[in-house]
This record gives sequence, C-alpha cells and structure tokens, in this order.
Amino acid sequence: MLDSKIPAGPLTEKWDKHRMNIKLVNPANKRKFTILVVGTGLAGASASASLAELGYNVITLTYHDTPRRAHSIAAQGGINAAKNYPNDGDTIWRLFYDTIKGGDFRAREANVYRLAQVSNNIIDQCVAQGVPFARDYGGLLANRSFGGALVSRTFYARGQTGQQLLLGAYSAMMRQVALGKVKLMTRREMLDVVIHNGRARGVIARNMLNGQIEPYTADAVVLATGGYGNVYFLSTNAKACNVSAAYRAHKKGAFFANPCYVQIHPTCLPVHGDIQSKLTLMSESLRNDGRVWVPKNKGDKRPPAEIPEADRDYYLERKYPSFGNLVPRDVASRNAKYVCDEGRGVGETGLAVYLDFADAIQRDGEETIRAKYGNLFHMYEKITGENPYRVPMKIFPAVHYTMGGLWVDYNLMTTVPGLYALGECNFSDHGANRLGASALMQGLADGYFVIPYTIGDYLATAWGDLRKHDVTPETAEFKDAVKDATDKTEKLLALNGERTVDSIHRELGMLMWDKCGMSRTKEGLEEAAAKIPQIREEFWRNAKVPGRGAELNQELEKAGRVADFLEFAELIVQDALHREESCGGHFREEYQTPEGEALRNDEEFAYVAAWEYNGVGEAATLHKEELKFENVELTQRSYK
Amino acid sequence: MTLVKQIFGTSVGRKQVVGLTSLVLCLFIVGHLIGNYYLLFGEAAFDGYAQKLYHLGYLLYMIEIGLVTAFVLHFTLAMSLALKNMSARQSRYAVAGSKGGATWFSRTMAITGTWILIFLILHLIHFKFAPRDHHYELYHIVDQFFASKAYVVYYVISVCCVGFHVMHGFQSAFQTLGIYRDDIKPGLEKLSVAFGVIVAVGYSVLPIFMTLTEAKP
Amino acid sequence: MSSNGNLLQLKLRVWRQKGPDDAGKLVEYQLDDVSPDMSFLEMLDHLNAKLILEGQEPIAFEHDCREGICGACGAVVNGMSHGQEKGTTLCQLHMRKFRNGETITIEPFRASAFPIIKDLVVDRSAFDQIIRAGGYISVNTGNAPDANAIPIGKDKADLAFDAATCIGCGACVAACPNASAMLFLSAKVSQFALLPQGRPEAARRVKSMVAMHDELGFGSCTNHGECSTACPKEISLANIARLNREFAKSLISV
Ligand SMILES: Cc1cc2nc3c(=O)[nH]c(=O)nc-3n(C[C@H](O)[C@H](O)[C@H](O)COP(=O)(O)OP(=O)(O)OC[C@H]3O[C@@H](n4cnc5c(N)ncnc54)[C@H](O)[C@@H]3O)c2cc1C
Ligand code: SF4
Ligand code: FES
Repeated sequence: MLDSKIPAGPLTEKWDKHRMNIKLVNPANKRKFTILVVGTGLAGASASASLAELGYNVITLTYHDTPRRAHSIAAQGGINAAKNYPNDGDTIWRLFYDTIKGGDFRAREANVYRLAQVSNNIIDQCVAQGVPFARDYGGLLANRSFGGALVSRTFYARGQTGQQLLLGAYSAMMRQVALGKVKLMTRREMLDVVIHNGRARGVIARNMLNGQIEPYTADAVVLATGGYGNVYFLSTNAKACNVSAAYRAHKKGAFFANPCYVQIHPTCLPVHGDIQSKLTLMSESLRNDGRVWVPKNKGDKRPPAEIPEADRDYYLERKYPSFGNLVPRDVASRNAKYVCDEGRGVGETGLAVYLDFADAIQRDGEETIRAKYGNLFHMYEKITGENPYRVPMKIFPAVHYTMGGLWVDYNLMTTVPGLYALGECNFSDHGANRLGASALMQGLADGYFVIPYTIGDYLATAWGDLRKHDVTPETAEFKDAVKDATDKTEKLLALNGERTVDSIHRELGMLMWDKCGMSRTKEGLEEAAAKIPQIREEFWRNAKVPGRGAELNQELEKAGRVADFLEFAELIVQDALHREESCGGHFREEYQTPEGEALRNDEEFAYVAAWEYNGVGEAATLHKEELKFENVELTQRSYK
Repeated sequence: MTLVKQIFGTSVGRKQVVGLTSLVLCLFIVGHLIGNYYLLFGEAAFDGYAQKLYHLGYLLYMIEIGLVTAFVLHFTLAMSLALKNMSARQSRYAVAGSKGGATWFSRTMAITGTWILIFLILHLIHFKFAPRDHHYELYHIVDQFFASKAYVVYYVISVCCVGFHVMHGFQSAFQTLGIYRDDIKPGLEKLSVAFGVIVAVGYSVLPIFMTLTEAKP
Repeated sequence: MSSNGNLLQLKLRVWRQKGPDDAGKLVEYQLDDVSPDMSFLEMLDHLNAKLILEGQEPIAFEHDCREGICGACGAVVNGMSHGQEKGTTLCQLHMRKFRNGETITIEPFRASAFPIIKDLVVDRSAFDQIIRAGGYISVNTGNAPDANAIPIGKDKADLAFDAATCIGCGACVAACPNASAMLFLSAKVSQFALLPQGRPEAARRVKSMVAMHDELGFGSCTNHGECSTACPKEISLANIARLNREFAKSLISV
C-alpha cells in the first residue's frame, strides 16, 4: 500500500495544518541548496520563480530554445478559480466537488481540495504579474463558463489563456535569472535522473547543440515535463511533447500512476492525409450552436448539401435527447468513433463527422454566428480551405490531455525521495477525466503554491544526510548515467534501416488509437499488447537515424523519444487491461450501462494504480493507493 | 545611466535627437523656402530681404549656430545609427521580398541624407560664402549661378532629395518622439508626402522659372 | 495522398548550412507530390522523409505547436518572413497558397543577433536576454493583492492584451531592413506600460531593455514598418511609438 501522506483532520483544514506542521528551512540556509527543475511550462516556470524567490539556487532545464515555448503556451480556453466574482454561488467547495465528480471519482480528495483552495491566489498572482485577463467595461475581471460546471468561474485571455499565463510565469522566472538565482539551461534534454544513496541528486542532459552529455547535481529534482499524449502520434499536443523524462524517472524507481487515463477531445480538425503531423483543437464552445451529424447510410458520398434531412442522422440529438450536442467530451468523442466505425464517417478518410451551422445561421443570422465564432471559423478556413459558413465543418476527436502521470504523494514527491513531479507530468488532481480549464490551474497551483512549501520540508529533514553524502559529477552514479546515455545515443545513431522514425511512431500511434483510444476492449488491448513489442523490434531493427551525435540532430532527438514511447505504450495497455471498469477517459466496452454509459466499479477499482518498473517488456508491478471518499458521495453520471 | 549616456548611448535616445532636430530642420526648410520667393520680386526685394536678415545681428548668429548644431547632430547620429544597422545584418537574403511597410523613400534615407550634406556644404560655398562686395548682395550671385543649366539640374536633383528625405522623415519624427494615434497616422503620412512634394517642387520652381525668364531676350 | 489530380510540383531552394561556421548555400530540391492540404512544415517533413531514406541529411527547422502560438517556427519564404500570407505563422501557411510549378526559396531568419545554428535554425536567445533585462513586473509569489483590487479600463486592458500576444518568433527582426527588434521589445514595454501594475517600474524597464537591445547587436528602428506587416500577430507600430514615449518620459523622470 502506498502512503500518500495526506494530513489528518477535516478536509478544509488539511492544507493549513500541514503548512503549519512542516519543517522550514532557515532563510540563510536556503542558498546552500540547489534545486533542479526540468521543464518551463506553467508548472516548471512557476516553480523555478517561486523557489528562487525563496532563496534556493535553482537550475532550470528545458529542451526548448526559450522557456516561453513550453506546450502550456497553446492552452486556449481558460483557468478556473473559485473567486465567485459573478456572485453565482461558487465556492471552494463547489470547485472541489465539480473537479472530483468530473474526474469520475478517481482523484484524491485532499489534493483536489487544496487545488480549489489556492485557485484564487493564482488569479491574484497572475494579475499582479500583468497577465491581461479579459475585463468588462467596469474594469473588473470577466468570467465565462466551461463544461462540467454550473457556475461561471473561468478566467480567460481571449483564446490565448495559456500563452498569457505562461508569459507571466516566464517573466517571473526571467526576473530571477537576472538576479542570478535561476540558472537557465535551454536546449538541454534531460535523459536520466540520478539517484545516490536512495535520493534523487540530479539529472543528466544532452546539450542539443553540440551533443555533450552533461551532469547536473542538486539536492532535489523537480520534474515538470508535461504529458504523454504524443504516444498516439497524432494529438493536439505540440510536436516535441514526450514522455521521456517521466518514463526515465519511472525506470529509476518512480511509480507511474493511471497511465491509461487519456482525455480525447471531441472537436478537433480531422486527419486529412497520411502526411498529417498533428491535430488542431477547435474550441468546444462550437457545440453550443453546431449540430453534429453523419449520413444515415454507409458509403453515402454525396456532398453534405445534397444529403436531404431524411438521410441525415443527428446521432447525438437522437441518442441523448436532453443534452443533445452538449454531452460531455468523452461521450461525444466515443459516439463519433462509433458512427465512423460503422462506415458512416465523412470526408476523404471517412474519419470525420459534420458540425453543421446551417440551422444556427438561419435562426440567428450569419452576423450573429460571426460575432460568436468568427475567429474560430477563420482558423478553420485557414487550415482546411473550406468556408464553414457555407459547408458544414468536419471534426473528429483527438487525444488532448493525459490524466495519468508519475505517482506523487500529497507533497508532490514521487516514490523516489527528493524527486518531485508537477503539472501534467504527475497524476494528482484530475482522476480519470479532467475538466476544462483545470490543467492550467493545477500547473500553477503546484508551482507557485505547493512545491515552495513541501520541498522545504524535505530539504530541512534530509539536510544532514544530503551533506554527508554530497555528490559531484564524478560520483559513480553520475558517471554511470553519463555512460549509459552516451551508449544509448550511439545505439540510436547506429540505426541504419529503411524506415523513418516518424513512420514507426505513426504505426505505434495508429495501434494505440485503435485499440487503446476512445473505447477499449479486452481483445483489442491484448492485441495491442502483443503488437507493441513487434513495433519496438521493428524500430531497433529497421529505423534510420541520420547525422552525427555531436551537433544539432533533430532525428536523433525524435528517435530517443520514440524509443521511450515504444516501451511506455505497453504500460498504458497493461493499465487499461487491468482496470476492468469504465471511468472518465477510460472506456471499456465490456463495462457499460444498458444506455451505453461508462460503468464504474467502485467496489474493486476505487484506487490509484501505481506501476513499478521491472524491465523492458516485463510486466510492471501494481501498487494500489486506496481512494477514500469521506466528503463526497459517489454517483453515476447520466446525460440522457 | 547618466542622462548623456542614455541619450547618446542608446539607439532610441539617438534617434529621438535625430527626430527632434529633424523638426527644427523642417522649420528651417519652410522658412528658407518662403524667403526664396522674394526672388520672384526682383533684385531689390530679394537683397532687401537678405539685408533684413543680416540686421538681426546676434540673433541671426544664434539661429545659425542652432541650425548648424541641429544639422551636425542630425547627420552624425543618423549616420551612426545607419552604420549600426548595416552591421546588424551581415548576410543578405538571396531573395528580396516585402509584405509592405518600407518605401523607396524610407530605404534611401542614408543616401538622400548624404547627398543633402554635400549639397548643403556646396550650397553654403556657392551662396553664403560666395565673394561679393556687400554681404547682402545675393540676387546677383543666385542669378549667375542658375545661368548654368548644369547647376539647375544639380540643384533640382538636390532639392528633390530633400523632398524625398522629408517624405519619410517628417512623419517618422512623430513616431520617434512617441506622438502617435491610430486615427491620425494615415493623415500624417499623407501630410508628410505632401510636405515632401511641396519642398521638392517649391524649391525647384524658382531656378526653373529664372532659367526660363532668362532665356527670353 | 488521396486525390492525385491536384498534387503540386514544386522546386524548392533551401538554405543548407551545416553549422554556425559553415558558409552555407542554397540547394535545390524537386518535390512532385505536394498535397495542397499540407501545411508548409508538413511539406518540409515530407521532403525530409525522402532525404532521410535517400541517405541525406534532413533539413533542420524549428517547430513545436504547429498552430501559430509557440513562436518556434519561422523562415523567410520568397523573401518574406513566414511566407506571403499576412497574420500567419509558417506552420499555419498551407500549400494551397502556392501555384503548381512554383519555385520557392526558403532561407533562415537573418540577423547578426540571431546567428544561424544549422540550416533554418537560428539562435533567438537574444530575445530572452531582452526580457531578462526588465520584461517583468517585480512581484514575488504570494505578495499579490486581490485580483479585482485595481480596476483596469477595458480599452487599456485590450490594448495591453494586443501587445501581449507577441509569440517571440523573431519575424519582425528578420523582416526589418535594419534587423531591429524594436517591435518585439515595444510589445513587452507597452503591455506593462499600459497596466497600472507595470507603472512603478516603467522608467527603469524601458531604459534597461533598450540598452540590452542595443548591446545585443540589433539594429535601430527607422520606422520602415516592415516588422508589423511581417508579424504573424500583427503587433501594431503604435507600440513602438509608445515605447518611444516611455523612453522620452524616462529621460525626465528619476
Ligand atoms: C491545444 C490545447 C489546449 C488546452 N487548453 C487548456 C485550457 O484551456 N485550460 C486548461 O486548463 N488546460 C488546457 N490544456 C492543457 C494544458 O495546457 C496542459 O496540461 C498544461 O499546460 C501542462 O503544463 P506543464 O507545465 O505541466 O507542461 P508543459 O507546458 O507541457 O511543459 C513541459 C516542459 O517540460 C520540458 N521538458 C519535457 N521533457 C523534457 C526533457 N526530457 N528535458 C528537458 N525539458 C523537458 C519542456 O521543454 C517544457 O518546457 C490544453 C492543452 C492543449 C494541448
Ligand atoms: S512582434 Fe510579432 S514578429 Fe516580432 S517576435 Fe513578436 S510575434 Fe513575432
Ligand atoms: S510551430 Fe508553433 S508557432 Fe509555428
């Protein structure tokens, strides 16, 4: 049984009490500690800034050329907080409850409550940094509502909230760089965590410009390296997003929790051809006015305008008369898959459904629709070359977010002492499904308001031990790790087969999408489990990696990441196979209600599955963290 | 940072001096142009005007010193910036393209500016410091100068350069000094072009007119 | 690819440069199966896949989000930063905007302050240096008053937002005849100058950011306006005017 170190006491007082009880590092001693932060997304940048402000020496690594390019930059919709500015009855409790319920009761109560508690401080902090949130004419902050909530609690900066929040955190960090408290190392790809005497004491990273494998020593290591959605090859994630940092930590002993919880977003632009490199998210708000349909008959290739009403199937309205086109993300996604599986999908590939605004335009007029969605329609037209005012949009679900991640306790520490995981890279707050506008909140909560306290507790406690077993780049574990990484790089560079790394990644992605995507079955998962090792073998036999190691080599970078995906995919499948229930982003066809809804099994599966690594191709060992719901009642979702 | 360093040591400080001095020089250009039109009223009127100017005495010297200072600052700082700008891109693009913005006038500021410097020096030699009995006897000198067709052509080219320089420079000065509004920008741009045309045409008209009238018996 | 009928045949002239010290040159490639639905970067992916399988080095180019927000991508296409479309990053440019048979010249962003690393990849870390010099509001975590404590008029907030949308791509520098970074710099200075939170440090910020800009070897702004038309976020020249105003103000404030 895993110890999540949740403080005792009533839910609402846990965090305050904990902060009172944890050890503090003497201010004068803080500068004697070095903390390594990997990643400069919302989580990493906010952590780097806050830790440096406290006086710690921070070294921050990112594989980007500048911290501002982290994938957080792409988040569109907004960030939640329980400010209750609109006076519509929001409270910390309600935000907590919505998040727990949205996560289909697979998240830890104490963490989620803390998240809701600090959500307000995040907004204050960001505004003070100059983040230009939307405001109304009175000069006060504006809010909008988002899926899964009955209150308006989402703060936003047009469709670029992630960008503005990240630039805020980035500038706070750059201020510390200027003050000499953060040492920023860009274009460094972390390749391994180094553990000495049972504690995480640093990482090694590849200098992506000259190929040098560099050791970095520290007193604690914080991973804020994002999600692993790109295991599916096509996703809404940025191209470089990968699992390597988290996975290599996993290989060094950190347990990986709930890898099968993957969120698939229903309104993305469909795949248009076999060279497509990524999928673009279209705001969910479109479903407020667009009607989703496909032809009634298989193989109906007529252009949409020529398909009469009688031959159209508005399947969401048909199956879910009360929620209609506004069913939650997972339901909408799954149903799109079903109709396409039936051969009724539209577009060149048959992997798309229509999102039709004709009725809305007729009802409200084109101008009204333009005012609401003009920028989205414009973006759609830019990418597809089609005018959505005339022709229905084509959309399809795409992988968007990963709820699973490194297992962490209440202090955000992994199972490796001194190794922390923040943001999308941990599993902590979203259970089996994340609500819109909650990832940004979590990333910043972790970085600004949680880690600065909890890491102090660890450092104060471990102080004597850390000094007694000090490390240098010459310490054996560092030298070994450098050697391992060098060997692995050489192995990759020796690959001289007939296939590009991308083509193999694409093959893996297709398999995962088919068998371990929106809807999963035992047979499908077993098939995937059998095929992944074959693809991995194909990679090591037949991939081609050009160029040299001692220079900028983007194919080499890719190959290293894909090699990890090829191992990690097996873990996802193992987790999906073992979880014999449906919940949130994990839908097992065998476990559904007669209406086709996800059927949880709280008796047997109300736990976090944390996996321990045993070797490549070896089954991982399951460790459970029991989820106790003392403050909320478990209910079944229904959207009929 | 000291004030002097902030002004003369930074690109924005320097260009603000360039912008400020350019407005002073623009005033001078206008004043000079108006004065030139005394030429149309014959020798007595023109020399009378010149004499009036000389009677300003110390005030005239102060104005002259001010103008020279403005000009020297304008030219040297602009040139220092132009040199900095040249070193800011050492390799050229193989294909030149533009999505809009720069004009022929904005791209040739350094060239027209240098031409204007040479023109100005020669102009002073030709007119202001030309040997004569009484310093205000200017009409005669002007008349003689423009008797040469080549000088007329040279002069017209030079004042066109001033016009071109001003077309970009005038509106640019406002932007540089931070005077900007979305709604006045298009108007200011047109005004700037109009100003340039007036300068070029306004200065050219006189020698051309004088040549034409002279040609008559 | 699905409909072979409308595939484009293109001649690409791509800047190839092995490393920072290599001289570099334009190399020609013929691509005969470019789908009009491909993005510009997918077209490069496609070419790269061929090059790799032929045993040649793929073209190095930067990209990440591929949806116009991270600012990683960028090249000069036929002499224009991010290609001919306005308000568009290279990753959002699609091949249907090109004619069959067209020759496309692809070069890296060129500026002394952006040294070329390899092929189309340039080093834009100078932008981080500019931000480091003052592109922030000095507020420690936990020090913030309530978010609604200071109302900010919508007009000003919107202007600040417009300035804040800069993605740090560097297209402005690449397009500027003087290789000046004034648009980038002014966007950040403007964002903070417009907000009350940013006022206390306004004078210090503008002085030190301008000084850093100059030190890094960027050219000075001579008001051509190429930057703004090349900017994928269409950052307005009004921001440069505002920067100039802030700079002038800083001369008289202590
Ligand atoms: C299109 C899109 C829209 C979204 N919209 C919203 C929204 O509206 N609201 C919301 O709440 N959430 C949204 N999300 C989710 C949210 O953006 C992310 O979950 C969140 O930003 C993740 O932040 P992070 O700091 O954990 O990681 P990231 O921002 O992904 O940062 C990861 C960092 O780690 C670094 N890194 C990774 N591996 C290594 C390595 N090996 N070595 C060195 N550095 C490494 C990277 O360089 C990067 O700096 C959206 C996501 C997508 C894809
Ligand atoms: S101002 Fe525009 S062109 Fe310049 S870096 Fe910002 S977004 Fe790119
Ligand atoms: S790849 Fe992110 S802006 Fe183009």
